[in-house]
Amino acid sequence: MKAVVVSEPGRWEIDEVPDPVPGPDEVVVEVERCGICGTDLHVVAGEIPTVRYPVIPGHEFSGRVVGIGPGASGPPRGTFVAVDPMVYCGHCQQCRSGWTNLCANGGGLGTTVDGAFARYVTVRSDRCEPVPEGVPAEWAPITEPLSCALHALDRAGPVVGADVLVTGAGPAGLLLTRLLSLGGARVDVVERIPLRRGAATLFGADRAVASTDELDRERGWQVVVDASGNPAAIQEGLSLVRRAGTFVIFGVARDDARVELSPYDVFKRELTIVGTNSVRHSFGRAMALLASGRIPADKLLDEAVPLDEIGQAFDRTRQGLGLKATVLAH
Amino acid sequence: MQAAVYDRPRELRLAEVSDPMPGPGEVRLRSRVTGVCGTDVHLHDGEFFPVYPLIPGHEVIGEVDMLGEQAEGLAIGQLVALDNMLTCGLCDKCRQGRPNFCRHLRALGVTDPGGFAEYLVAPAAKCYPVDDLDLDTAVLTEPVACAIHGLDVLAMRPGSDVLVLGAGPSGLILTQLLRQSGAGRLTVAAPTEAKLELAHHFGADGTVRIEREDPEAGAAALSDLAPEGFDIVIDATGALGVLNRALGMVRDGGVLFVYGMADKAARLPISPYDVFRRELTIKGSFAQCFSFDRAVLALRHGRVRSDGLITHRFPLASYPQAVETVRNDRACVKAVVQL
Repeated sequence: MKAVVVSEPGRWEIDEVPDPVPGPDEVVVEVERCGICGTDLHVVAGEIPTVRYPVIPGHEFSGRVVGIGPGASGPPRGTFVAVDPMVYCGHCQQCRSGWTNLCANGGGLGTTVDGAFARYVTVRSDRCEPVPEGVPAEWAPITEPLSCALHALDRAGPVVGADVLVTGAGPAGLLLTRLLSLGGARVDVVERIPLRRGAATLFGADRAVASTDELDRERGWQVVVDASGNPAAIQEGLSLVRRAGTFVIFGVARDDARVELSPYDVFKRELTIVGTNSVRHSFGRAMALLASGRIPADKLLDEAVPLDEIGQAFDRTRQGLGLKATVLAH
Repeated sequence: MQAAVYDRPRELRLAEVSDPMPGPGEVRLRSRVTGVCGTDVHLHDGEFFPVYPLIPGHEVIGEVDMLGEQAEGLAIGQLVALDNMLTCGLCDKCRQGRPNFCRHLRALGVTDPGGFAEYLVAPAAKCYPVDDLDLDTAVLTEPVACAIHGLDVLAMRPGSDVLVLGAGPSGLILTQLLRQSGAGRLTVAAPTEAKLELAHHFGADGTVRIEREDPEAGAAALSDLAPEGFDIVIDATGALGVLNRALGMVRDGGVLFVYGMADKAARLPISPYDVFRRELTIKGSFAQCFSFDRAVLALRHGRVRSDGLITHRFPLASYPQAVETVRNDRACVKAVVQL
């Protein structure tokens, strides 16, 4: 089959590789569409320490079940599904605490095992979420980033009546903005790219501005979420949290980036700082939300491109052009 | 009356000042015992927003000595614990139910006259009767109220594996409360053997000696105890050297709780990627808030005990030595001034 193979950090090509064979409890999904995420760019560039090369990236995808491995009890052949890409063992201390996204033996499709920028991908059958009738097929890859945003909201805690600042309005920041707004928060968004600022308003931001200079920094926000991964934004964001407020680290920073935290400030201002990592018990809820029509997924999606043109789509994503790029896998 | 008075940072004198008189809604307290806290050491150095001239002392147990007009609910001679935080009740923070962040916060012993004096005045509504407690137990009410507020913020899941770093009064009070609140396992790490013995006495399942100068051996012992890290690590030292190691002792998905007061200029370098990947939580709690009544109850019913905690007692005239003892004497757990 045809697949995007990253052989080592910085090196990738579209290559012909053997079709995958499903192991026990696995199914083969024929990929229809797969979204491009910042994580994929980090995988290509070699910026995530946990990646195991060579690897096929891609983890925001949908497709049809076409092969069923021994003992797999998931959806029947032909079912159109989106897939929770988290890999976890279920028996380590972390999994048994319910923290499957922090599995000691785990990882993810497209980072530690082969992902979905390919015609076929094998996945555990219980990670398949059937796409309900009425959900447009092109929306299905949004399930994964939406489930990440839902998990971030789980980590942030209740937001009804809160004022929230989101820094960064890429696809993840936009989805989170929508969820915060649905959850009863008043949301301000900071984003330097005009197209994304415009989208933020469509996704429920009360105000979308290019810089915090345009907002009342002195007043602060009860919750500040960084969805950019930019250390400077994180450093500034920490100072914008109101007393007894919460700062959420949602964007993925480079692993060598450092910010300075004042322990006195954490104590005196009673701050809470929480990290949120991908998906935990939130995939099914994300699909239900998508099916409810409350997420304007059509406004997030750029026009899909064929797999052969993924290089240009990587470039556009890297440059912050457009919103959510997706590729048609076959 | 006799009082300890600062005119400016570090300039402490024992002085004769006029007796205070209670205004409407206030009572006058005759100080019986006042705890000396790390905050008093910061105040000595001029930190923590003192207003001069200042009579320090915010952990006050006193006897009601005079009732102002409309001071209700208290009788002359009653022994009370004082909630020293004076809040406006009108600002946005007060109305959000966060009086510890009151925009017009005043505090007896910080911005207003406190308990290192023969007398002080306080709102009657801020006095909690403790006639049935011995003075050594009653004097812990304020620090216990702070620790209970800390537990409110921490919101520990019962059964958690908890590490407390530091076995001063805060660490030892937290140890007792955590033990009573369902910690699954409780480990206390500190440099002083005698304080670790107290921690054990107060319910710690395990103690580890960890030297500030050479933390490696202690860190290795903690790592043996919890190879994947602890669910909750509580810093009750405020020391940057300890905080620097603390995040590494937290299990993925766990919590670092910043309870000790660090130096204002101290900075902890953190990796946002690590906080994301390991899904860490870092949180802090400040002072006390709606927890005074619970503190009295916890002390009354032996959930927090004072035996062995009070190691040093001073008369008012020796207040300067009391501050030096709290600052420098590693054998000191809790020092009090008895009047």
